[in-house]
Amino acid sequence: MNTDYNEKVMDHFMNPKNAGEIKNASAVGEVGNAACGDMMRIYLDIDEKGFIKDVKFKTFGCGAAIATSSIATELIKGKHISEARKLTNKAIVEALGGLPKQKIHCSVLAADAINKALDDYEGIVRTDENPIICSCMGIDKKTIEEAAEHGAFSYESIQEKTGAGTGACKGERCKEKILDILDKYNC
Amino acid sequence: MRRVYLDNNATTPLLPEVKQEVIEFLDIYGNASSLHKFGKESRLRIEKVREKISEYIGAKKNEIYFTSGASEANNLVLKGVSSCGKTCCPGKESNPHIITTVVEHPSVLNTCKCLEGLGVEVTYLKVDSDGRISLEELEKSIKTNTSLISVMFANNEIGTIQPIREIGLIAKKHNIKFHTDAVQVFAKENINVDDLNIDFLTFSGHKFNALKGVGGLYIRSKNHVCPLIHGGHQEGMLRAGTENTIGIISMGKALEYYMEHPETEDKILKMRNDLENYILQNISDTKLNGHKEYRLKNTVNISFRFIEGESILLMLDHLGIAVSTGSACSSDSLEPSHVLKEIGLDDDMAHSSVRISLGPLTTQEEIDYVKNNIKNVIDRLRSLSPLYNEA
Repeated sequence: MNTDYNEKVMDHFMNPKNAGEIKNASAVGEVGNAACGDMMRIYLDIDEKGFIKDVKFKTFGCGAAIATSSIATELIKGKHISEARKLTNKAIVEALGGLPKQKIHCSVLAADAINKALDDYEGIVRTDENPIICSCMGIDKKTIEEAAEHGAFSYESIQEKTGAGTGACKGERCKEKILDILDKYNC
Repeated sequence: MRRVYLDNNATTPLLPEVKQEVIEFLDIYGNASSLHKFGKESRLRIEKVREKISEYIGAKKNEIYFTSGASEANNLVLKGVSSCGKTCCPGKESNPHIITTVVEHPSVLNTCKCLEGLGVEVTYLKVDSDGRISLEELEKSIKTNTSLISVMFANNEIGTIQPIREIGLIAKKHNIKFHTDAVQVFAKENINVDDLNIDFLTFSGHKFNALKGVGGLYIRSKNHVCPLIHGGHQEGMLRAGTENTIGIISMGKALEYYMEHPETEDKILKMRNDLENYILQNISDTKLNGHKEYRLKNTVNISFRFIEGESILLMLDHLGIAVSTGSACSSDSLEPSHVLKEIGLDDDMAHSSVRISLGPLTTQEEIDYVKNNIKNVIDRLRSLSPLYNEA
């Protein structure tokens, strides 16, 4: 049981910013699903110069899911879409002053939702060339590949180098995927 | 800020009477095994409580064994029966088979998993959508080497009470020992171990307003179990270690309170029903989890569709109201409650569940406070939910 949300996280949870919907939004991005316990939908209103005039969110999820949605919308509001693209889950965690380890995946989800909305705006259909592999710790495929390229050929060394597989589920959801990636490097 | 504690299935506050008794006897420090007056003071107190507990469940005084709590008691009976004849415990060596259920407390489930690693056969009975086992299934699962049936009296998460009497009859008919983890009903329901054919019964002090770190196991006298903790001759050589005198005294006083206030349970039931009816009638898209009739009087478990349990818990906590949730997001493992999964709840409804459990110190005023606030909390979270408008 997670009891260590800091004050800022609690404030964004209790008084979320930009909650709601935008009718006739320029773009919408949705990630996650209720069965997994988290689902986020981001609405963007973008002007002709590419600036985000307004942003709203709707989220099903825990305190951290709501707080990360709230702060993520604040971080991109008024920004140009090229700036919004640069928003990482790390920046979201930092802006909140930290999140419990097992809640990092909420920040990944929030960043994903914004990227998905931007994809929608730009008409990009992704084949997911760099998916998140370890959703507990928010470690993507490229990071694991890079670690492997630098000598981390075993699951244990990937854990040590990237933190992947060391989250709340202890690799239950990602160990096989990591081993699949490592397969490339272990020939 | 106002504080309303409605998580009594997790643990309970000390009753004022118990707290008073504990304070009064804190200076009783003699080792109950010592022969001098200091020791005898402790011994006298411990034995009085043993007697009180044995009277309550219709057992003999020497059939009550004190432990550090329910987890130890459950380990003791499961491991103790399984190792009969193999370790220091007399008995015929066998490869025992244990029948238990998928909704047991982790102290039973994980002990069974451990025993499987040692070659013990275990059958985990499924439950229906109300959380009850099938007696037919139970009887079909019995094998020639079945040595123990372990079924909890009532479930801590959804409150469902198992058909204990019928299970006892089946166990007796097949000459199999019957253990029940009774922590959620101990002191609260009438229990007679002869009447119900119970051979082992687990109880825990902090679930009925006594101290933490103390509990016990009833063991029918003809049964052998091998101790977990070897050492001195305490507790009939079955549980070594100097007795937790003050903890045992606290259990005695708490049990006494429950015995002297039989009206408490009905008072709790009335408040529980009041809250439950309010929620089900005034908040849409809810589902009551657990058996409607065969259920703990103090427990209500409800899923609030479209929103997630941890967020409900946090918002109620902000108002000073303490409840619990079966949502995965509230656990370190990120796994939803095994009980809610086993009763067939969809994942999203398991994530949306909240358990409210009352106790003897709960007041109607507190229930009214919850009634005055809960709808607003649910509405607020639903207004944030992407799922709600679609409904």
